[in-house]
Amino acid sequence: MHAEAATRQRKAKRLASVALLLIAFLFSIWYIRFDWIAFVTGIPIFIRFLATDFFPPNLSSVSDYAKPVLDTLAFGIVATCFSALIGSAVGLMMARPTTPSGKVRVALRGIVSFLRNVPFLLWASLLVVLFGVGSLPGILALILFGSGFLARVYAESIEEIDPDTLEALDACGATYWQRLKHGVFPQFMPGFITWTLFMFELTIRASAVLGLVGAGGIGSKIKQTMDLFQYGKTATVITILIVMILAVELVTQKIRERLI
Amino acid sequence: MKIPISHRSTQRQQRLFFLGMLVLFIPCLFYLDLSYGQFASGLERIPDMARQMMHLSFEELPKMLRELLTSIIIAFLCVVLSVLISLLLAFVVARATTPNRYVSAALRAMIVIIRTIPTTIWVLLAVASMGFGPMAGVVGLLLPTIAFLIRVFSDQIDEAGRDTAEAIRSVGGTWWHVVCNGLLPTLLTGFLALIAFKFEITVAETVILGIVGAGGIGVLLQGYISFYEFAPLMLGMLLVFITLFLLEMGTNLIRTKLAGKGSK
Amino acid sequence: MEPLLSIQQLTKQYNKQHTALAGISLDVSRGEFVAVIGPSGAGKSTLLRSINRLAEPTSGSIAFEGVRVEQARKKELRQVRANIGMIFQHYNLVYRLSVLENVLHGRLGHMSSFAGMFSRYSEADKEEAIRLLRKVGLENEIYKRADELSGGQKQRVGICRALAQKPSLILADEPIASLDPRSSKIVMDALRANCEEQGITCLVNLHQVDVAKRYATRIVGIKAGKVVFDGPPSELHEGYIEHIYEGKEHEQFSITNTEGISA
Repeated sequence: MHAEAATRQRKAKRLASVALLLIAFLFSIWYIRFDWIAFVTGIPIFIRFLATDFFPPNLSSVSDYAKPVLDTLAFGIVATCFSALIGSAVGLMMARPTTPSGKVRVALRGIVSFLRNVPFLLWASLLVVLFGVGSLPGILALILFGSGFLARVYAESIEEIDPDTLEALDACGATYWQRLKHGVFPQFMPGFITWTLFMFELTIRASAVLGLVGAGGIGSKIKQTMDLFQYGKTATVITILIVMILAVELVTQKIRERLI
Repeated sequence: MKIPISHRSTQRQQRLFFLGMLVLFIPCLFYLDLSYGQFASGLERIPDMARQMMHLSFEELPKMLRELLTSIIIAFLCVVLSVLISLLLAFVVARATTPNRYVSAALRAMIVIIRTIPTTIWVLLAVASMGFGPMAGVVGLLLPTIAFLIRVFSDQIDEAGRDTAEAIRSVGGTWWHVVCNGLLPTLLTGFLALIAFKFEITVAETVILGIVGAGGIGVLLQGYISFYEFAPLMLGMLLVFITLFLLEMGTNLIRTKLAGKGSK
Repeated sequence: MEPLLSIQQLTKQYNKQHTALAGISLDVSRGEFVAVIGPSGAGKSTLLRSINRLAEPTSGSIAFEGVRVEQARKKELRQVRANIGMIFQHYNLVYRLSVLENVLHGRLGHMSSFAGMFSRYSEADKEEAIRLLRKVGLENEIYKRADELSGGQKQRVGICRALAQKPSLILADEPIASLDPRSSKIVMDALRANCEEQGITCLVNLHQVDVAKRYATRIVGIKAGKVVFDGPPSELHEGYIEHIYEGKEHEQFSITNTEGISA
């Protein structure tokens, strides 16, 4: 009897959530005036566009792309190094076992959450306004975003350290800095290496987007060629981008396997 | 002679990593040739901009909320459509349930390529082919979202489904039996958590899609930036932040709730 | 003679419901090897951890070498801790560092913050640490990473770390609870021998009564946060043991589990 009522309730709940989903779906379609015909015909248009306008890739000016590729890699390295530095400092102050005080921890968490939750591209275009077009705002956007991202994941790695081993150092009479160097750093290293390498991968992906708002990198070539309707060239740039991302992933994967 | 104390290979590897970072960092910094003057003059502009940002005005709020809703709806529609498509394809791709190994391998390769290209680029391509508007946003996001969902779904199917699939096949069940009666019900809770997670990410993406011309609040934000209207920009950024923050909390809630249910 | 450690009316309350220590008074003289026995949850661990303030006592006083530990400020506390070695049930080594580095951590309390941070241990300290490791039979493990060792070896490293502090008191919190009988014997032998040799006072938490009887010069029985027995091992009769473990008889199984040690 009781079980039956429970099943009925569960069924009713499920029905209600399906109904809610349906209503939300219908409302959404009405709200943005979703045109099914445009949608159904749009997808073939999109695919035909990709298939015909992009192929074959135009290889005539491949050598032009060497510089953006190098730029992007250099972007990634410089931004990753700066972000790792800033992220470590902030992460240490944010992590429970190493924070100087609870208030600092809460304040930093708020700031970092803001940095991460305002989309990266928005930071980038804001910085382009501030610093003008070029690689500088791109780098700064990557650093801003990267520091926030790394601070958070570093802090999480530090909080995963077994607190017992840190307690043993306390029991020896170690100071805060000694505990940091001998207890926290050695055990934080695997996390640090993994996340820093991951950050490097992210910067390569991100610099494809940076160019769209005028902040340099290989993305600028994507935008340039598309603005000129040279889709064959765009295809070449995107291919280079794919190869680059996959290559970087492969390399970081190898480093990770060796080090950890 | 000094007595060494450390574990040699661990120390060597760590030193190598930091040395590598440094060796790459310095030439790259010089190569990029960043201008200090540009940096300084940019910094000088910050106080002025901050002052303008402090003048919060709520004049534009209704318009912003409307566009924010559009952004969320683009994400919602895109995720709903992607779920429908990827639920079916995931079972084709997953090794445990694939009807044909070569189809699975081909789809996997395509997924890798689709996922490698950043979402924003996909939307840019969609805008180029279909013109400006929310529709281009939905279509552009569709491919990467489907690719993501297929991958995570098929991973879960492979992890959990092999035994169930074999059991049903051994009593003579067809492929449809395996999928609809055997696997889908058991995996659904896990899928819901993944869908919630992807929805969160997709909203974060749609919020900025306006910058490449695909509708939503991004169009407004891009406008404010290019016309130096920092006061409404600040409001917009706060709005975006609050939305994404609440969404993050919401999906975390869903995830813990589902995890609790799963263990019962 | 003034006792090395004097605990008066020590209480510890974790929250309103849970009282870990309900007024413990205990004087420990130099050179004693005290075993603290009692069922789990009796407050043994809290007692030990209060002595070097890894746990903050709620009330009462602790005097160590004349210093009031419960009132000690940062610098004083650091000095107190530097002179008290501690051994843990789960060894608590930094597993990504070498064995030698782990032992040298015992020296940190005696160094300046800066020198300690940059591992500027003196050559004499290093030689001493190596000597300690040789003595407990770890001469081949000195440069291994701590995570490569077995449980018994890790605990011997823990003992060396405590000894490297050149402490006047060692606190050992269930040092053999995670070890098999054979390793337990090696660890307890090493602890006892080194303390005796260097005149170090030792306070060991144990839940195996027979081990306590075999190694200790004095036994303190604790039940529900109170001292219910305090005397030499010869006076600890069956009646006391039954009283101490009353209602926790299942833990007596672990008592019979350590025959390897008594044999």
